[in-house]
Amino acid sequence: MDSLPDAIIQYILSHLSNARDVAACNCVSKRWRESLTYLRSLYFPRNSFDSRPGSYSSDTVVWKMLSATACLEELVVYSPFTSAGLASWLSLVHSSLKDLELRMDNVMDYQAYLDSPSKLDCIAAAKKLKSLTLWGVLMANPPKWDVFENLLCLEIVGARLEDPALSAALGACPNLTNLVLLGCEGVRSVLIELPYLEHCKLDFYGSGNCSLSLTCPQIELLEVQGCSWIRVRETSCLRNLSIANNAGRVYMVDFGKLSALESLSMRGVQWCWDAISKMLEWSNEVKHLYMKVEFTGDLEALLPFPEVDFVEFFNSHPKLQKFDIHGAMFAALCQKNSLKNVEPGFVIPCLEEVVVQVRSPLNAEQKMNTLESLLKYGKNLKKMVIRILQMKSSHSSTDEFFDEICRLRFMNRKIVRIE
Amino acid sequence: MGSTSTKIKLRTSDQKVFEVEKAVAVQSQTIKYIYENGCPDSVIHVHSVSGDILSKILDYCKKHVNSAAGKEDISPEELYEWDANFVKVDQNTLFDLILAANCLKIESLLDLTCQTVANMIKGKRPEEIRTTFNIKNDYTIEAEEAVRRENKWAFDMLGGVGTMVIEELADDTMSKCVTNTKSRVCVIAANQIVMMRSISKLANKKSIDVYKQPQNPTTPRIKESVKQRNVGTGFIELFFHFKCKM
Repeated sequence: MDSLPDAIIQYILSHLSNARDVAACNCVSKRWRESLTYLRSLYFPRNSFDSRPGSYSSDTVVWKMLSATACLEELVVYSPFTSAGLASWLSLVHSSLKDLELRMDNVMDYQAYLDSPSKLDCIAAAKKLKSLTLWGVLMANPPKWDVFENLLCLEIVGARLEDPALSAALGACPNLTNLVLLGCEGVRSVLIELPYLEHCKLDFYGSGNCSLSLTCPQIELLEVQGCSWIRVRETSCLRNLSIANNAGRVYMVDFGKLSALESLSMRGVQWCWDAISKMLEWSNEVKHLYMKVEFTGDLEALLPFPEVDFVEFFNSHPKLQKFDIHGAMFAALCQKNSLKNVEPGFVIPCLEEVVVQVRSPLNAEQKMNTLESLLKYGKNLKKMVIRILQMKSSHSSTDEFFDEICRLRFMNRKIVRIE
Repeated sequence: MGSTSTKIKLRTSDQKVFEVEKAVAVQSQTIKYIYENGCPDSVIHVHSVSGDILSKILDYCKKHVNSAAGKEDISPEELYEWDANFVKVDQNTLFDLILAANCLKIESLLDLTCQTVANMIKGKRPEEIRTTFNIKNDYTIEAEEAVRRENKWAFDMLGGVGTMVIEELADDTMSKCVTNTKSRVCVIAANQIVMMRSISKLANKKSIDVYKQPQNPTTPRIKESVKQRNVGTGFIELFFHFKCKM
């Protein structure tokens, strides 16, 4: 390997990023140490400095390693650090640093939170950042950030946020294209106005009653968890939409035309019927529909879905290729009059794949009818998966129902599968 | 002529001639440049590459061209596995491939081969690295002592295999995170078995679907979506995407 030219050694070593490996390579030979100048990425695992706490300053060790680099683009630090340390590191690498990922650990650590300037504030020094990921942040006050002109991607995982602090943070990133807020607590009402935002994943932890207003004309993918009130008016580019709420009730949705929508996922324990019917109405171009809402009802009472007309449903979603029917939706399609409009000329043109979840043997006959109708009128149906979940098998009707399903599978071997 | 597949002739340093489809040969930016700017009919000399190495390189280019053009029905995972097998060669061949990929300017191959060497460096102590690659230690005794002292922190390993280092973040926040539809969780464990056990404990408790993107062929049967950042001696840090089944 010694016979390889310098440039190749540098290129090989630039594929390393773990600080331990870099430290080991520093000791291999002078030539290797010099070649590490062109390291692109440096990563400090959580337990980097665990073994001898206090015997050397971990902030200084990181600083020394950073000072040996010339053009570091990515820095990831999961080991603990102080804000003074962070400030010293960023003063070394801010001109080349594009990606920064830090485990802040401020959520539990109120003492560190009182550090001034705070770690969050120090990040402002890395002006050329393209992506920023923060784990475990306490953002109670607006961070003192200027504007991150180049920041395209912001991810905050496991945080406690206050609304004004979040607004201020988003205001400092006007050119964001990707926003991910996962496991974030403390948010009540979010207003996102980012002209270039394309991908947005929001996961709010709490009582599930956040309200979200999104004004992002380029938005293509939106996933929301934990909101009960959602308004997104500019939806001409929206292709993938997922709305879930495990803790609260979804009661208001207000979307613009969803003409570009290809995939829609609706999940939750309870959605108001108005919200469900509106989403279904707006999404008539959709190709993939995933429904897993357990109940409807506008107030506390959990109600089953009202009847959904089979023909009307499929006629209003003509492009539907893949349909996941979980929760209360299947029961709604299996009501007494659900199949009343079915005629010989009726066709479900594009449907290729159906996944149905069956949980109880009630209304077994109607359920079988609906399943059979799907097979009969779904001319292009290639795959039907019937998931049978923990049916209370104390009733003999359960066994009969299961037999019926098996018979259906037998008659349609190529298409039907039971899980 | 209107040929459906133009052929290019390549002559290696040991005078072997290879005739290959243009689409395959122009994976090399060098050959592409010569072909487009020189005389397309004559033979292109690749002086610095031997027949054996060029043969392997052409296999690589062909596989990747075919998979990209859809001529071969091969999934990304399968291509990844093929690449992994492609680089299972002895060190000399590997370095020859690196030099050839550099000279022929085939970026993806250069990346693949250099990453392979980098993977062989990971997790090793300096002495091991020197032995593996036959590197000459050009430090003076004083200089070596100084650099070792500076990097000492990296060699202070915590406990040994069998020490369970699952962070509090794992237990408390993990169970919080998994009640949400999709959350990213970081689990750190001192050895893979301990970590896998804790993941499967969680998986059983919350019926979590855990999807795998195979990176390391030795990881056990549990499906996880893994972004593997570090495989150190006994220490593994993994990020998982949990998709919670309600």
